[in-house]
Amino acid sequence: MITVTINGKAYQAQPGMTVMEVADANGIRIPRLCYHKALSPIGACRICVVEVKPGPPRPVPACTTPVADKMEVVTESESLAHYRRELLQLLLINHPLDCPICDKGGECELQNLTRELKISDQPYQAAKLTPQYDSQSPLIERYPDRCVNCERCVRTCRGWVGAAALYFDNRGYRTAVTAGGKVMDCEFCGSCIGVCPTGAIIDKTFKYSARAWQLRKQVIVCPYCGGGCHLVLETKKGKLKRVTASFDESVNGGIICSRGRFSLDIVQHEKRLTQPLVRKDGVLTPVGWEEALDYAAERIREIRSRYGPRALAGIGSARATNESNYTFQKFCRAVLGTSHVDSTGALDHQKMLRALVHVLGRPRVAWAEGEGASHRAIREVSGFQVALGTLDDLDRADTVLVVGSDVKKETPPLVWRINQAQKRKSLRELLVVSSRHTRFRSSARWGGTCRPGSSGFVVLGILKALFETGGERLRGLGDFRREEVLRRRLDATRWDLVQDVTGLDRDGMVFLAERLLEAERPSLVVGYDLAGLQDGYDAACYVADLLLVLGKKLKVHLTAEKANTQGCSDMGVSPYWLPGYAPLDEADRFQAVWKTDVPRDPGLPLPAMLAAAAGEGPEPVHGLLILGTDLFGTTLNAGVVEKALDRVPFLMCQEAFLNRTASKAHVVFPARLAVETEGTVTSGELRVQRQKGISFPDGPLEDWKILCELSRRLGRPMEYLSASEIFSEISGLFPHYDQYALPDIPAEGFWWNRLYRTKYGSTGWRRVLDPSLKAVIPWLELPPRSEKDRPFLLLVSRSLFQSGTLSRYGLGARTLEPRGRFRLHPQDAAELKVKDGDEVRVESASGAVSGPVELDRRVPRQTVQAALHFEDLPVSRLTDGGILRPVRVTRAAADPGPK
Amino acid sequence: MIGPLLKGLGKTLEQMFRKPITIEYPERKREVSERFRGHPRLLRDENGRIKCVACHLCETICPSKAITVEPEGGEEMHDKHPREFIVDLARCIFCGFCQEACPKGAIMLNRKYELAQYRRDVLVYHKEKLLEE
Ligand code: SF4
Ligand code: SF4
Ligand code: SF4
Ligand code: SF4
Ligand code: SF4
Ligand code: FES
Repeated sequence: MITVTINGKAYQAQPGMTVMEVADANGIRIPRLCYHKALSPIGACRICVVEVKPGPPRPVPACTTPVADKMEVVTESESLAHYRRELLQLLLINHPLDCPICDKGGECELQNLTRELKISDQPYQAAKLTPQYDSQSPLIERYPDRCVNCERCVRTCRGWVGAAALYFDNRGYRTAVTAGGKVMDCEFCGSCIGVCPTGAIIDKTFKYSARAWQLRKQVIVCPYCGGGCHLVLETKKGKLKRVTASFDESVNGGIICSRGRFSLDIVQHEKRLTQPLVRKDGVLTPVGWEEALDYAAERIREIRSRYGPRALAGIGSARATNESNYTFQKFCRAVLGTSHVDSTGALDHQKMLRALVHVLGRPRVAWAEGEGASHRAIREVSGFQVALGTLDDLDRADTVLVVGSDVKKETPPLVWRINQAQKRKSLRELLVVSSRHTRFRSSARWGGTCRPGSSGFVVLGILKALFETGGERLRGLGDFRREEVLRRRLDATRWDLVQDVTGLDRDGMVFLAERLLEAERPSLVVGYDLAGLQDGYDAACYVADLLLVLGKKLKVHLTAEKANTQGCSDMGVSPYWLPGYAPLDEADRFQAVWKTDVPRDPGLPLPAMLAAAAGEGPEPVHGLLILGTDLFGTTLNAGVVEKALDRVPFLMCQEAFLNRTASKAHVVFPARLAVETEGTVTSGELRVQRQKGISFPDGPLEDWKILCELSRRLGRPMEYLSASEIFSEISGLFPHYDQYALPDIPAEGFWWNRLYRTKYGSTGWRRVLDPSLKAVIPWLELPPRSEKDRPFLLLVSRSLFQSGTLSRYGLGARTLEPRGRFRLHPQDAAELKVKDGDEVRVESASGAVSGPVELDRRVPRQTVQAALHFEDLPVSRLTDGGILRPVRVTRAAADPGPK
Repeated sequence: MIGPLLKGLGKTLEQMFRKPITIEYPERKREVSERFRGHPRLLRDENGRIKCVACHLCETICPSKAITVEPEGGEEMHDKHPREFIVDLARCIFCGFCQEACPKGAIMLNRKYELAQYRRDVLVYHKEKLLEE
């Protein structure tokens, strides 16, 4: 601690802080323009000048001057005010001063500064500049004549977003921000809009629709990916006008992606369902709530009495809140009496969790004295969650290895934190192994290309290398109880096989293993390129073993595609566990709370559930209940899904939009989106956040309310009055969630893998990895290879502008990527004689899809990349539950034209 | 007894030949002061274009919430004007705040003051009407 005197008063400060930071921390206002607390200072505008003693005789910029002990700072004086006014008047020479027109008026830092410094005229003249306006770019407009060259946008785009799409052109008086081409070609995250102090970069979708002071601001948790970003919804007269982000919160630090900023208008989309629909004479017909509920209850009762409870099955939703998912699985288990409950997470994310649970153990709390009553001293906390890292752990990491994930598309906030850590130089080694080239990978210190689908083998290779070269350094790090079996598996997988499958050589693996061993605080990021594989579970077992071997020091970060992907599993929407990952044989505990029988037999996982709904197997499913899910937007084969949904005698959907799945239903209930539902969501980093819920259209109900209504009609009522009641029931059954009552959850949420707040105190107990080692060490299957008559590999990927199928209704997503395309490497395209935009036909063993081609150098050779988001590109006709499939690509026959 | 009666009659006679203070409204209308604050109106610039740039300041300052502005962009980069501009005269209290707040001199109060109507909606003035006023 050092002491600094500002305007005659002494303040404590940390060495290394700047004058600006000390002043801000103590509520002393120093005028500024280019300084922004989320960015490193550059000292460009000099508006922040102050006088310091000891120091140079001239004023110095407060934002770049570090404090020293016994420094005396003066922030206000005649001459300082004079300097600041002169500087600002010079900036205003070319400024249009059209504040009444400018969207920034009312929240403009330049406007405020002009008032603060009492400037009423601008006496200077200079050559007029011709601004290069940008009105052609989608979603964003730029007015260079309003720019003050503060470089905030450039710094944000480079340092946080990692797109580096903006830079300065020309020098001196003619310096101007440019995006290179005529229109912007970037991620359209709009973060530059957020940091710009003036109206030089504006949100086109908001342009001229309201003034800043007319807007009501409400903070919500983003409904798209599992990043858990805080969004500020700004409404005027109940209509959503724009989405912004606040730099005052600690989750995403004011940065959001294009989905969050530009595609939230789905809340007030005209296609939102507002009335229940019941199929009458084959047509979905709007009816009243009573009628629809009675109908659904009647059908469920009928199926249950005729075929027994196991003829019913439920699919939960990674989009719905924890309370809705909890109520849903309880509805299935306790009200219906079936154990068939799963979610589409079964195809990817949940496989990783399952592997972690099996190898590293379920979350457990050991109490200091006796079992039972809660909120006593904890002795020990164990389970897989101890190994999961948070975003803040990424900030601290010195080495980050990314395997099997297109992180930027799956969960952008991970990338933002990594970018920042790289910029601060706290992160020394960023290592990325992927089958695609990405901008993110080129920013890494080491990037390796593996074959599509080989992520599991990459992890295996790293383990192999660790054992071969780690030697004594490995000892004392982790847990080696599985060593013998593991070594046997590893030894049996020869290097030439690993090299052949992955395309990476032994040296590469040894290098990666070495980096992980050397690192003080290594982090591993794993995602959907690994988990989405057919044998994603097996591959994830090797990730778990890597965690085991490297012990406590390695943190793993799982990407999460949807806002509540993690929470959906936490709530027990899985045939493998009850809420809180409790094994099925712990059903007694739940029975006591739910006051009904809870089935203990294992339920069917999603793919088997659909087969049963299609009438296959010994136990056909006759009634399917789906919470907010479009099964056609997953890697499940569309033909299989269609067969199941067409056959199943009763299909009930709770949906916000009439998507393809819901349009096959017998009854559809209009559901509120998660942002409209009070409750909690759990982001990919296990952060449980409170969703306050702002309702948009009248009509839809919360998912859990619909289920409560149904349960009453089925004679086993779940009588919840509010989401907090459900949340406290969850907390009672899953002590890791029991840290706050719902209304008291702090704005930044809490991590359920860190029991250190409120009730539990922060000391006196240990966190341990107490591996259950239940899982066998699997043999990895060879990834699908191209075949003779199917020489290409289809690689299911994601778009940066979309999230699942919900975003397809969003304005941003529709504008930026109006239709789906197959991406091909230009050389492959040349060999197929197709050009950009041509139609191709892609054919797998299960179906064929035609669509336009986009040439993309980043796509691996002999691979065709496509995303599942698009209605007009039904990729799921080609897939079979995994992200890879051999396909044949041909030029589509010339359009025969209308017949 | 008769005295006061005559006095009263005399007063009446006197008044009959005086110039009346009242006027026969609505046949005749009274001239108001130059600075009278009557109905709000919108102005055009020298090229005949609406002066208002839809900045919402008048709408914001208006104490009786009589003004609604709906902005719209034009062809050029710095071009904004009201697609619709509504003043509810039945709400307006003729305070003149809007005129004072307007950075463009686009709205001013004229000298009209009549408000009697059979229907309220007649008093909701739209952009065209406000420009004619
Ligand atoms: S950028 Fe600020 S100062 Fe410039 S016109 Fe817009 S509101 Fe006014
Ligand atoms: S929108 Fe995002 S990616 Fe594009 S220039 Fe702005 S900050 Fe960069
Ligand atoms: S566009 Fe905005 S953020 Fe970028 S330099 Fe100009 S004023 Fe600063
Ligand atoms: S989609 Fe993910 S990264 Fe984008 S704003 Fe939402 S939570 Fe943040
Ligand atoms: S204050 Fe003037 S320019 Fe602004 S909206 Fe009102 S009339 Fe138009
Ligand atoms: S704010 Fe310090 S130089 Fe601009």
